[in-house]
Amino acid sequence: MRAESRWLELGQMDDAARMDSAVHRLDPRAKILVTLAFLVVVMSFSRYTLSALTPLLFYPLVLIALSRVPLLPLARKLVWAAPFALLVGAFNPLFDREPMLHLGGWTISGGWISFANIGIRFILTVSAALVLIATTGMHRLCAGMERLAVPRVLVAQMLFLYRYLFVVSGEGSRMVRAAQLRAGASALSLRVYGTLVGMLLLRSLDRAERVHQAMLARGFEGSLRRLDAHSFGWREAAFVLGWLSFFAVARVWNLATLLGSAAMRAGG
Amino acid sequence: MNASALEVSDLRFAYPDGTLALREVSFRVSPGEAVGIVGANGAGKSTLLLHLNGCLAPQRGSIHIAGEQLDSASLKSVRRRVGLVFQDPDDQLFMPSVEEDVAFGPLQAGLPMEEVERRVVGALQEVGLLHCRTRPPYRLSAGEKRAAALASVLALSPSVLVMDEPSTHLDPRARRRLIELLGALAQTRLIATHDLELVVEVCSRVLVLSEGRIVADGPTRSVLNDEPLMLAHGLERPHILQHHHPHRD
Repeated sequence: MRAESRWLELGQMDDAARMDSAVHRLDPRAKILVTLAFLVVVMSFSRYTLSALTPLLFYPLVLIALSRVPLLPLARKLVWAAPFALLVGAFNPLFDREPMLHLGGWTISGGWISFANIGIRFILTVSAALVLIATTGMHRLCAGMERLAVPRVLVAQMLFLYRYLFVVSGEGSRMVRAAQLRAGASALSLRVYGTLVGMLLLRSLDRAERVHQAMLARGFEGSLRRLDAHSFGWREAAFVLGWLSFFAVARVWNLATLLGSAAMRAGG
Repeated sequence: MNASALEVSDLRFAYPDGTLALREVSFRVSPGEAVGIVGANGAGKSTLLLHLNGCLAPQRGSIHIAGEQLDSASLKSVRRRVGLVFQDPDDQLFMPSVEEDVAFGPLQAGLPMEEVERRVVGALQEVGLLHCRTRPPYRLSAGEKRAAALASVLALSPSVLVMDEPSTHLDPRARRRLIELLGALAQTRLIATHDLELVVEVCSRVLVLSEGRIVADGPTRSVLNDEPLMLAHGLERPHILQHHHPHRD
């Protein structure tokens, strides 16, 4: 049940992608390029950076506000992915005990700072990726990648992966349910799960064969031709240039401290 | 000879594991005819259908579509003329939205965009699914999926429609709609199914397959009324023929 409701939430991303806004209407290539640049900039900061990273939150937040995609489902997906980031950073406070920061009576070690740094970077990168998908939709995203010279085979793989996630996961959960109903009160053993996974693989191979036949039957010759034609116009150019210059400024200057000291000067 | 929309002669096929799925299958279908293909599980119905647009190649015998022999040279043009609707619509609806799926065939054929759009709208209208255009296939009901799969094939304007179990998993109303739709189509239709009542309502002629052979070929009512024949091949006389329907005949 829990797994199924997750796939339904995946459908929520599709709903968000079918909304209409200035951000949705942008050519997917522009959004892909800006997202990639954003990821590179975020990853380029050193592991002890905290305050200089925070202004970058501006990017996903502005896009969410402009596109009016609902915030809650995005936040929930962020929470699901969080354990991975926590696991990556979990040992930093243990191994890196060198004091780095004194705040009042507290001394904070480098390990805790790099842990927080991983957390912020995780929020930035994952929310940027989620916003990209929520404002573009998987299929337009794939069309954009195809036009950015990503190999067609890869793009087709991604499209099919997304399309058949629902079918294969449905099949998988039905198999698990059938096994559980016959297992009675006892939990399913690892061996049974192994068999189920094997069965699911065989079924998926059979299905892949049938899908391929269905494609051939309708004249498939190796490349997917798509309906929606976007164009890279001045809006896209402005979007890409605007954000790239913001990223560059945020990378070179620490906007948070600049803003802070400007406020202090204005106040003092 | 040239008057037949489809001609299968002496078709034979064995699967790699040695199972003989079809032996000496021969029949002809006239343009516009609706033919039911019935038979027990494993009788060879699906194998036969997969031959009709070249998904499987005959090991012996030949297939002619409107007089043109099906071989590797004619494969492309034959696939454009013979539309195959698969048993599981999820196999057929592989694109992210209904309209893209319906547009798949026309786009592959290299038709201009306006013509593709015209075909998409036309096909979706024909099956009554225009309101589902932009929906992803996994959000459709079983009946809508079936209709979308049919539209995706109709968009290629095939002259022959080949369908594998079109009425499975449909509720009575969706099934009724499908029967009306199938009955109204002008194309030559071959329908493989266990739904004998559907055959009675849609098809004027029926082929009975058993262990890879055609054991009966004739007018639907007289073949399906032959109780000993039906029982001998894992079928039964459909109810619709057992009781006189007050509004029919």
